Amino acid sequence: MVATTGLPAPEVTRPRSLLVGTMFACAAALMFFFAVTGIYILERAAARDAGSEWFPEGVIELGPSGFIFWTLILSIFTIQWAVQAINADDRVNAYVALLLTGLFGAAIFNQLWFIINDTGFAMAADNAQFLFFFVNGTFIVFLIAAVVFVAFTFIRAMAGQFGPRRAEAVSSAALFWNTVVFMWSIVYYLIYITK
Amino acid sequence: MFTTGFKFFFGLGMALAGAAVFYGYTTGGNHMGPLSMGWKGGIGEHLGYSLLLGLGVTAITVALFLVFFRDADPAAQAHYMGVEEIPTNSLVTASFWPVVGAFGVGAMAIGLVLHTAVFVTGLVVCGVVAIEWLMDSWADRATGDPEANRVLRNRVMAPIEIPALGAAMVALGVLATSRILLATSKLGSVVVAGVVSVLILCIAVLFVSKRRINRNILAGLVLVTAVAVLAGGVVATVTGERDFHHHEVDDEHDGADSVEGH
Amino acid sequence: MTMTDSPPVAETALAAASPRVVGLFDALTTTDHKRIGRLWLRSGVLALLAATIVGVVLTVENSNSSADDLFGGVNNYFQYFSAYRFGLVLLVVAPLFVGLATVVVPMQVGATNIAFPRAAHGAVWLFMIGAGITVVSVVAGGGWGALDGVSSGERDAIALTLVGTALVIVSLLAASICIATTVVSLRTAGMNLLRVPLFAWSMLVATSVWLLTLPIALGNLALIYFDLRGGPGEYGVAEGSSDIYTQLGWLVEQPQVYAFAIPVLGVLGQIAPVVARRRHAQHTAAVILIGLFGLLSVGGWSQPAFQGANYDEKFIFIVFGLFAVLPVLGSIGAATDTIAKRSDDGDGAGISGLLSVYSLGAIGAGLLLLAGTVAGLARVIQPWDLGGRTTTTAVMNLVLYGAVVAAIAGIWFWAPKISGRHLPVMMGRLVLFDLVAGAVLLGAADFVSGFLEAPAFGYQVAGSTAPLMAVPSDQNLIEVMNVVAAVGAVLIVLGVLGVVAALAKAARSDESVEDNPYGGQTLEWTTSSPPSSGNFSEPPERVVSEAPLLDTVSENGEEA
Repeated sequence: MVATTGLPAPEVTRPRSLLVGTMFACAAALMFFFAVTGIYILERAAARDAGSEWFPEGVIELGPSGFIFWTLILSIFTIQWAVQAINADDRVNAYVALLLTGLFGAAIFNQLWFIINDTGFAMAADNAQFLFFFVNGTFIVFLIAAVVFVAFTFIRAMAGQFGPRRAEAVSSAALFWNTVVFMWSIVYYLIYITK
Repeated sequence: MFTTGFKFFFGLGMALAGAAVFYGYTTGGNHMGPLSMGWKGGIGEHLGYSLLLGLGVTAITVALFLVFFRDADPAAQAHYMGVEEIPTNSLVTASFWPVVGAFGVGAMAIGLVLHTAVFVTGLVVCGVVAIEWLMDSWADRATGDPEANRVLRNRVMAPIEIPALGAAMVALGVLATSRILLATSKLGSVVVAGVVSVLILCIAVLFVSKRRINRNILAGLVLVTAVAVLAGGVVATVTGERDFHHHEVDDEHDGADSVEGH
Repeated sequence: MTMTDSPPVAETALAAASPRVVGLFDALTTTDHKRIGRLWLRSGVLALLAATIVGVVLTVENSNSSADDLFGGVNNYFQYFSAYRFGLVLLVVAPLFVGLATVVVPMQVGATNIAFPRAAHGAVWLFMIGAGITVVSVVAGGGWGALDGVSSGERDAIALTLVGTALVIVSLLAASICIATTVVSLRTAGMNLLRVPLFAWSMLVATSVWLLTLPIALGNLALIYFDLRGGPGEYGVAEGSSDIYTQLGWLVEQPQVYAFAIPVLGVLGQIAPVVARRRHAQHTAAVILIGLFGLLSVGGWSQPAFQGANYDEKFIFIVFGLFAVLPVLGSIGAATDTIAKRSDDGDGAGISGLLSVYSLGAIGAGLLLLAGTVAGLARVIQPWDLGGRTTTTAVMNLVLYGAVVAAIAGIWFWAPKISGRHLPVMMGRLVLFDLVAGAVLLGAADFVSGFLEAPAFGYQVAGSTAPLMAVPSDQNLIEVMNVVAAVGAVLIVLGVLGVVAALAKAARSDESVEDNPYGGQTLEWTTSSPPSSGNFSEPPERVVSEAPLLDTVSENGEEA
């Protein structure tokens, strides 16, 4: 190991930069998402106005997507647990909370993959099925990004660089995670509840 | 009480949300539809309404965050940190990973159109960049001594980087040479094999005779290679598959002859 | 894990400034915001030259309907027509302002660097790669759709154009995050957001609007791309249709096109007090007006492709078009008020400041933007029915060339901080006069043609007088206007060549430049010319107003 005893401590860095940057990134991500869902809403309304069927009856099931929703609600508590633990300098709890959040993310990915396969939809079949893939795919991309963000935060936390008043990265990961949860609540309502 | 940043984003958000409601009513919305997001009535033209409302909600959310941490004003930051004077932002050490990452994303984009293998290569590059970037960020904040941070970073990463880079270069060289050998004629492949062998020998001699290669030359070579790879991808995409592929697919008899001929 | 002593004081960050970077290796690894900004600016100027040359060919083609077909068919014309429009917005104006902001904004707010410098560096390279892919794919037969049939190679080239455009937008979003975060979270002690210099404020407003709206275009692009590559063919119709262009066309239409010109008001508000050698007379009002212009430039919600032909008859669209003039007019009024109250201390410096390159450029840019928003106002007046006509082109050209002129005025103004050199004065005056004159001719000609029912897509089959999309009421007058537009486009190219020549001339100059040659009032003028890698030799003093350097002078009793 490199002997670091006696070396000066790292500079005190400006707080909030990462959080502000993540806030702007979340705003941009949300607008991308709203653009995608906006077109979904438009096309669905047009199809219904024309009297045609949007999704075939009984293909979209509410149960599995509900599991995702409630798992994500649970993950809000785990990610905020991580923020609280880091702010309290409780490393062990922070590790557990971040790991749990990441695991929830992996489980949601697995569940959503099952749902998409279970529908038997094809992208080229019609507009409704294409947009089903497109909206869910968009969510998957953001979910993967959130899991990667949490994983990197976990690694940085393991390196011991976070603590009270140095919890910016964990707070930023939480902000992005909660944005993704918000996205699913919209997908769940639009595609799975109101179909 | 309300900060400037909050006022701007809140004003922006409220105006856009208000515009969404107006838009809804003026494009065919009825009853309480535009006010209740379609819960009790129609919302009019759907896309404009959804996007204006989305813009409004997003801007208001940004406003609430900004007021929560007082616009990240220097005084608020100093108070949060418990210090008298807010520190300047720290200088970040030089790194070539952002440029490599940009080329990785470029490869992913071209791979989307050209071939899955190119996309996966870009994805792998981006993954490597993400890890290296993470380690650089960690090392930058390890101690207050930049030189110690550099040594620390290299101590952790060099045992992984050097073998991985060596293996990647060998694999790339073997793959590229095999493609060239397969694409050229019998005589051509002998010539290519000879040239490649001499090239490897020359590079080895260069490394041995001159221990420190000018890093600008090295950077130039890497940059030219990266640009050439991406440019090759673009050219391959726009020119499409070579004729002999169509030939084999279209005419099995000819294809069989050509295989026999080899 | 590390064991360390107590934290050092903040000043060590400045003392630890890395040496000035030299050579290709350093250029590829730099985290210095000035070097990153210069890369953006070079890319922007190069793209400007290319875009204006394409603009000349397009206008010459329009004015030459009965002669040879320069493009060899309607499809090629369509490719370059759309490339010119998207190029002007995404490859020219946005990168020019991003470059200027990347260099100047951190210094203006008293920061030692931009926020997330590595991301900022990655963004500029991603931009260059995305721009390269876009340009090459358009030249190779791609573009944003095709009006005739396409081969499989051209279909792939179209897909490549889409991913290239997406990369450009992603890079602009990444750079926007860096700039906005710098203004919000890296301000020096005492500088609240109301005390931020107007250019930095305008960039915060502009990047915020870009961050809210450009992802919508990214969503459009993703939808088109995935449909093109395996969807039902509703959105990504590559052949025999302009659908792809239409789905992205809102980027170059009002209100969104105004979003790319928000920094014009910042440049104007920044230069006016320097010319007047006094504080901005209406600083708070200028802050509010820039914010208001930001609000009225939010686009994306108005998409002709999805909202039908009467999209421009929507009440909110008309409201946005009518009111966009007001903040521009107000900002010009505030700048004029400031200049009118200028202090001329007897040495004629106030007058010479008024005639300086940057002053002429800022005023010219402001007037072009005003003309653009007035044309936009005319375009939403329903009885005139100017939608789909060259009026929309006039709005785009006036607004975007206003932005180009502002960016070039900014380059002249901040040249000591960008490159450590002055740019040639006489050449600058000529170039900016030429650019403004060219933009006025181009915009005015298209504006008049709009009233004569000339369609925005002005291609005519060679040898025929019948246009492709509509029948104008007065073909002869339109042809005269097309010639005027072509003259304007040629003047613009000459101006851009002048800019390139001036930059090349300055690059060879070895004159030393003062730290604050024009009496600048904001923190960037406390740095050396060119600034060192940490910007400030010592942390700026606590800021108490929007013009910190005037406060210093006041404290020393040197200002009346």
